[in-house]
Amino acid sequence: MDTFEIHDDEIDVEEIMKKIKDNIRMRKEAGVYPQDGIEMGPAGNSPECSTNVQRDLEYINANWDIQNNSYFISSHRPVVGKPLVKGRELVHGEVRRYVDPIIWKQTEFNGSTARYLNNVNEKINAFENVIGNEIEQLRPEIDDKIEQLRPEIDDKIEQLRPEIDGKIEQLRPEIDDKIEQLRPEIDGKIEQLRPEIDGKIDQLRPEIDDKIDQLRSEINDLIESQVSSVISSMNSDIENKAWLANILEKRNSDNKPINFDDEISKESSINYFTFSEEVSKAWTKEGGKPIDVPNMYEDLLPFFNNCNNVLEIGSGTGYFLQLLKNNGVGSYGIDINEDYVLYCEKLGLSIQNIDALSHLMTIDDKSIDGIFMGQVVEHLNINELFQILKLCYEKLQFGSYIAMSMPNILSVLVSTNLFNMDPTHETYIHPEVIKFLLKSCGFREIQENFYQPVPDESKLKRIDPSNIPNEQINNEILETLNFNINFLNNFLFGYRDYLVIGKK
Amino acid sequence: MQINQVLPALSCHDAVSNDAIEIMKFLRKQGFDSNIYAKHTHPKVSKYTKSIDKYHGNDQNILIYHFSLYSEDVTDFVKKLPDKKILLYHNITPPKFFDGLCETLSYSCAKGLDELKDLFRHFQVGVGVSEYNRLCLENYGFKNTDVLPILININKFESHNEKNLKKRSYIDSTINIIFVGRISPNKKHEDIIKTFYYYQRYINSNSVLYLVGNEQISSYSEYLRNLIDTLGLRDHIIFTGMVTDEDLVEYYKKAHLFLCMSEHEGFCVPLLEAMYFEIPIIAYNSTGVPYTLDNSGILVNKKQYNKIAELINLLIEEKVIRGRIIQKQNERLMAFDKEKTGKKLIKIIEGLNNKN
Repeated sequence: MDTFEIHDDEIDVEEIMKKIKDNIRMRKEAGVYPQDGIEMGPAGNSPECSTNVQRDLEYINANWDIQNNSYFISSHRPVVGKPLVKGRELVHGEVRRYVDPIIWKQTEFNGSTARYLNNVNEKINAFENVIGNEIEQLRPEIDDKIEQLRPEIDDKIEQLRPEIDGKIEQLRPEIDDKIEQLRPEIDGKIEQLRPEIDGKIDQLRPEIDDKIDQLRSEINDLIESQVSSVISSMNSDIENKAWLANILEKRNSDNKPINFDDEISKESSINYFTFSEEVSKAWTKEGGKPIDVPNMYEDLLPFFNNCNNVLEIGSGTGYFLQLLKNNGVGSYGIDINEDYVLYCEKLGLSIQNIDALSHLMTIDDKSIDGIFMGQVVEHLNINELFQILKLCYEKLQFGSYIAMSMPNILSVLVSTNLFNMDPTHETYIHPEVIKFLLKSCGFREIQENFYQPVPDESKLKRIDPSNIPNEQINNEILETLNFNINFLNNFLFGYRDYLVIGKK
Repeated sequence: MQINQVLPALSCHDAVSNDAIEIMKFLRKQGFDSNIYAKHTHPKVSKYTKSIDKYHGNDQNILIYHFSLYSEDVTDFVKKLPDKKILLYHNITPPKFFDGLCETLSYSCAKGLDELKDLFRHFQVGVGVSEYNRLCLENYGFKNTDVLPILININKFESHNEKNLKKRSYIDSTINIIFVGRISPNKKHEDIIKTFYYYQRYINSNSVLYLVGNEQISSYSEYLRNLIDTLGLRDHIIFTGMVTDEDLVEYYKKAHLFLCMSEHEGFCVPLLEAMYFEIPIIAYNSTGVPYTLDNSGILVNKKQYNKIAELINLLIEEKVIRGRIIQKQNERLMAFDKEKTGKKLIKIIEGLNNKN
């Protein structure tokens, strides 16, 4: 059973217990608490531990008087009250004539007994005190006596010492003789056991030899593998140098600058800073103008309210960082694109040029209180994404949120057209997959929302009955047609962006 | 039809009497003819009662008997009445708590629990003021049981509580810890004191413990004072004795934390009062306490004084956690809304009428 129970999902009891234990440990180490607990003193025991004699005596002293003197006759009845009181007084008087002497005698007896017991108790206490005092008075005398006797005892011991030494000396040859007598017997026993021990060793020898051989071959294998690994790394180094030499030689022979584009990955050859602007223009051309109401970023602000250290992974032009800053939320961003980093720096935003995995691995656990990744996850492969989400969970404080926006691939327009405009998009992230990943990492209270509807002018048109003459309207067909158009519009031209939020 | 209440004694400043008065006021407001009959009445509340001798019963009437202490003659009187009867159980403290400290109370509690063994034969419904009390009634043979929380008039504090409660400072001020309840061995004041000792001595010397409540058992009070002297806390612990509602409000307003280490509570009204005054609660998980707190406050399962003291410190220092605890307490307090409890009472009464 836990020491404390707090029934609130927002409070991490384990974290509280850890803090409490840490504080106790720190106070002990600082010498504030005594290392081995605190003595509450004799009064710290429960009150039930007081002696029976004392308790009984208290009871007797409180209850020895059995006379009922506090009783008086009265009545709250305004009219009949007075005669009623008179009548009761008469009866009471008569009863008292018989009962009072008995009560009085009993009270006297109780009083005497109580006094006697109190006297006895006092006497005992007094005796205890006298004995205690006597002991206290005698203690110095006894101590003196002991001090006086000490030299005498020491002298006696000194006197006896030669005698005791003599006795020991007398006994020594006797003890030596005994040992000498026993020696052949012990040696014989050892000789008897020797062949048995030798036999055992011989039995075990092949086994030990096998083990040694096995270890020897394992060590050899290990040495060989390490040597071959070193040789292979040297080979690869030589090959790399040869490759570079080859290029340099080619440059010399062609007299042309080196074109690394063929050698370096396609993704890094694109300057995303300028490219993304083109993508967004094409996105608008194919998918329709942006619709910012409702605004995803405004909707996100309450999740990061009062936060001090929100991390935006892939800050881009710093739009969300700026919004957080304007709303008094402490935040910083990271981005792998140097141009974006320089741009954000110019805006006065806190930004670092580093990738998500490397950054998350270097910061402390529970050091951030919010994470946002806008249009980032589709650039990662699923393993990288899962690894990043796991790290995000570790780095977030309990009760804080992670939010991620991405293209909504449920819309056919997005998955067949818009998504493919950006060649650096690696993975189609289905909403169910991202929710599953978040839950797998431990996030709870998963929420989702869709943004950026396709403008009506880019969708299939509904049939408006007001434009058709009355006699030609077949309501049933019209309703079916419009239902189908709605269905197709949702399927083909669904929301362009998807947002998912999880809580640690 | 009348709905009347009987209890051995109607006093002031005690939970059972306040419950009876509030029930009567509520029933009268609902248009019922309703009175309280008591054997003894404190002069300050005499306007609410009639003498028990004046009640003769009627099989059309409903009678609520508040059972919280031994009173053989009143119980016998109620048993004989022809009314449809509800036993409203406020719980009786187990006698073991008083052994060696007050034989009279120990005896009276033992007799009260003895009396309870037979009562299921005489009452149509057994109602506990908490789920814990209802379970107790089941153990005592009651088949038809229900829960009716104490009908607390928390708004009575409003007239004394004009200042904004949120002004209570948790920073750089004397930290005041409070417990409200009579000074009785079952409430385990010694455990509050020992916990406070750790907090005051080793964590925050600028702190005071207020023990608000009537002192009933001199030997227990003496034991507590000896303990306080031994621990050197005389200047930091204040016994207030019985206080008026106005004074109680003042103590609550300056309290930063409510600490309850009680090992026997039927309901524990001060928990609701602490909720009302937005004071975070730390309470020992025992008897009726977890039912009154439900999922609010912080329950202590083990009396490890140093850990509880550190928890107090954490609540004082960490605004967010304190805020969450208070928010949960506020939500819990809503469950004890007077109207809600009143409706529950009417439902119990209707159930009893429909049955017959």
